[in-house]
This record gives sequence, structure tokens and C-alpha cells, in this order.
Amino acid sequence: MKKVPVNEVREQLAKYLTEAERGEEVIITRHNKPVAKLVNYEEPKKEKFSNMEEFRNSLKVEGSVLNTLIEMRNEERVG
Amino acid sequence: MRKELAEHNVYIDTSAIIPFYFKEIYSSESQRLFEEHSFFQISELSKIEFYSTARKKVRLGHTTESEIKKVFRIFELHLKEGVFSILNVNKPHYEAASNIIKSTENSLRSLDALHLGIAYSENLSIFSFDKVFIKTAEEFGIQTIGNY
Repeated sequence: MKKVPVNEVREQLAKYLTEAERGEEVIITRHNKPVAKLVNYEEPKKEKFSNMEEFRNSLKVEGSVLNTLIEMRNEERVG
Repeated sequence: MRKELAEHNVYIDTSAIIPFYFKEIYSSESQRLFEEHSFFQISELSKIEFYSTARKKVRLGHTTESEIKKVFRIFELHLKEGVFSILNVNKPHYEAASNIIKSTENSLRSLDALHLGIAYSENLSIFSFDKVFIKTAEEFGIQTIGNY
């Protein structure tokens, strides 16, 4: 984590954005006081996976895939 | 011992990966897990089992090659994005698996033991929808999560 004055961030924004993208946190200071933090943006997981239900519903698969897995496993399990 | 979902490292059994990609009775629960938690581990073994099960559905004539490829594409995208952290299977995992096989009276296949050996060695909780697998995990003191 590094602290950088706001005027320096303004002049070299691209550089600090790249650092934030790489995972480094950049604390922006004004008059030596921390006022903001530049961090990598992570898409909220709910949004990232929001289309999964639609994806599952769109698939044409007969029967349960999970049951197939369990049946395959049970066949190999010794009773 | 079974515990509720919490922030801890979780080994996602193949039986919990499948409902995330295919429509199953546990799909909502699986999706909720992936939305609410960050640290998921699967293994190279889980990948093989996932592919193998999907392939079997094609062989059974329950789906087509093109449908399965859609699933593989999105699964591989998630792998690339780091949705899952993938554990390589190595010697301590095999050794733990051997010890589990030697000491259990439960019905257990070699691959079950290897999954359990991985979770045990890495101190991971297990999320699974396979009752036999869960029972054995709990017998070995491996924590399981979920409510089903």
C-alpha cells in the first residue's frame, strides 16, 4: 500500500490505475492526509453469476447430471 | 461435524460443481454458495470427474456434444477467471487417501478417498451433495457445510 499526493495521481493517473489493476492499493492524500483509496475493481459476484440460471435453463439435457455422478460413484463403491 | 456456511476455505466436491452448471434440485443452493463466498478450492481430480460425468450424459444420449461444449466453455472461463483455485494432487494427498481407505468401514471408492485426502491434508471444509461422501468425511473429522 502506498500513499500518493493527489496532484501526483492527477499527473500520472494511468500509472496508478495500472498499479491498482495489479492489486496494489493506492491511498490518495491531500495535505498529507489520506482522503481516498484507489483499488482494483472487482465485479460483484452476484452480477458475475447473474446469467447462470438462464444458462442452466437454456441447456438441453435429459435427466439429472448430478444423479449420473452419484450413480457412477455408487457403482464403484463396494457395498 | 457439519457447520453452516462461513468464511473459510472450502473444497467443492464435484457433486456441488455440477448443480452450478446444470439445472438440478440443488442449483439455487450451489449458486448461493458461489455468490456469497470467495475462497473455493477444487482439484485436478474434480475437473476430470466433472468432464467425465458430462461426457457420460452424451454417451447415454441425454444431451449433445454441442450442449456439453457450452458447459465446458463457461466452466473453463470460470477457471481462467479464478472462480476456483485448483489444487494439484500430490504425494501428501495420496498418503492421506491411503490412510482413509485403510481405516474406514464405509463404502468408499479410491477417488472418494483421494478427494477426502486432499481436503484433509489442506485443512479444507467440504461442500458436497453426495451423502455417502459426506458421511465418510465427517467420520474423519473433516468439516462439511451446507444444509440438505
